[in-house]
Amino acid sequence: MSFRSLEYAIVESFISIRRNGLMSFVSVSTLALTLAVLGAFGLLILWLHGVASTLPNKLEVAVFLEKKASKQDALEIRSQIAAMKYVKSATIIPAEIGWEEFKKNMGGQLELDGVEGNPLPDMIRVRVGDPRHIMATAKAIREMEHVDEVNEGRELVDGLVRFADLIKILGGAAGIVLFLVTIFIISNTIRLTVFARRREIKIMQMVGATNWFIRLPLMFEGMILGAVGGAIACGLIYVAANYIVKVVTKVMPLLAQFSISVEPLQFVGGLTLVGCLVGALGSMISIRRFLKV
Amino acid sequence: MIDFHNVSVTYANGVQALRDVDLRVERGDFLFIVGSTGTGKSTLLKLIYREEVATRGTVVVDGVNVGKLRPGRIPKLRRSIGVVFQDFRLLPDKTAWENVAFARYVTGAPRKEIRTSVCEALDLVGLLDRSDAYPHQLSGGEQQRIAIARALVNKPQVILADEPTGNLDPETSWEIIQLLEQVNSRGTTMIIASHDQHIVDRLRKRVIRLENGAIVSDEAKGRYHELSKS
Repeated sequence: MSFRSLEYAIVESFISIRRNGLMSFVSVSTLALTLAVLGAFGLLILWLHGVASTLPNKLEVAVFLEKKASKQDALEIRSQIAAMKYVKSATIIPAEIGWEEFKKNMGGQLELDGVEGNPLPDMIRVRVGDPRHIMATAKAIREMEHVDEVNEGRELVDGLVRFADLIKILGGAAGIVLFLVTIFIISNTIRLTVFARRREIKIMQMVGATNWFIRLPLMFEGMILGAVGGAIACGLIYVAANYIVKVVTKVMPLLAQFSISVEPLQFVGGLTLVGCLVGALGSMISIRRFLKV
Repeated sequence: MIDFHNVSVTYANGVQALRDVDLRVERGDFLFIVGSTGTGKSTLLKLIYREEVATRGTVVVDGVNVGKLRPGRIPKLRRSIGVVFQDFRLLPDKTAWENVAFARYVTGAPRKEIRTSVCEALDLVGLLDRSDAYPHQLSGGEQQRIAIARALVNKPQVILADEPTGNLDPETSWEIIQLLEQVNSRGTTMIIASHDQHIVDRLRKRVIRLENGAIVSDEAKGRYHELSKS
């Protein structure tokens, strides 16, 4: 395959896209929609995974000490907890500070003026690196001396751990299925174009065109349509994502703090590249059976 | 330059298209292959440009045993053979010029050279002024001329024509045949499958008659019907 044939193939693919305007439009639309679904799904998985993996870092085990425990006891317990295997950090919140925080947070909502003195005990805030180990860690802390109560948010932790695992497995599997479905749809769309040209392919073979000479323009055509479809899909996702973020922020403000940071250039480039790949693959699959001499 | 030795073709459905065909065509020959439809005229031509492969026997084109050709070498063989069909077989989305140029592009020829050779070919068939027309904008005769220009643009040793006048009126048919004769006079071997009695009788060229896939006569200055029988 010489450089001249390559140049011819690229020029041919553009001419063909222009001449088969309607078919090109249909292909690009199909590509854009399927790629938008694929891309949006990818973002969703990315986001859910982000939530599931950052949330536990925000989770804390609250360890309440007995009222009678001294500051010295608190320090000792803190260092014991900090030495435990999965503990990332342990911070003492003295009763006074805890009370101030509580008053500040709840100030407007609760009538606290009638409360005499400080009803809160000293507290230790414990962060555990891996949410899987929160339960065991909490249990061990509960056995310690001077520990009155341990609050580990049992249901939330349990649910989150299971959720994160589920997303990894389901997301991966669904991603593969969706990718295959995308290729299937694309190759079917392109097959229509190729089928309409099977007579032309025969003629080209008769004139002495090699299979690659016939294949290359169609492959480039698939790649170009795929890239355009990918770019349009990015636009669709951008508009949809903005809208969804706006709605979610309004309805569930808590969720809004979990944003994903995606490099826009990387995402657009990635989806365009996937479009290229899918287009080329779809073309290859569709042409194959028409090239048998 | 073309040699058939004991060639038989049996299709998968059991139909025997050719039986023990022996044929020798010299460089520069002009010959008609006649016979009613379904007697194997097209099959005989297809063997030469390797659209079909002989079930038995050998077909040699320019010293190459075509039946033993690797698939990768087939395009090269076809570039040395021009083919013209009853239904023209032009690429519908390409202009007259592009149709002719396509046969040059597949060889990887340089652009400048393509321009001059396409010009020459279109000039020879008298349609240089219709270069930018699409096939559907051309008459049948014009389309066939474009097909002939495409067949000869690679300067092939041989041009095969399968019923080239089958879709044309008598006057246009005669013009096309004269064009083919003109190309032949420049040294290109011409093999024409036809059942156009009028043309065959008028030209008095070599005529090979097929019946049920077998050659029944081969006359130097033949007519459509054998003299002995009529």
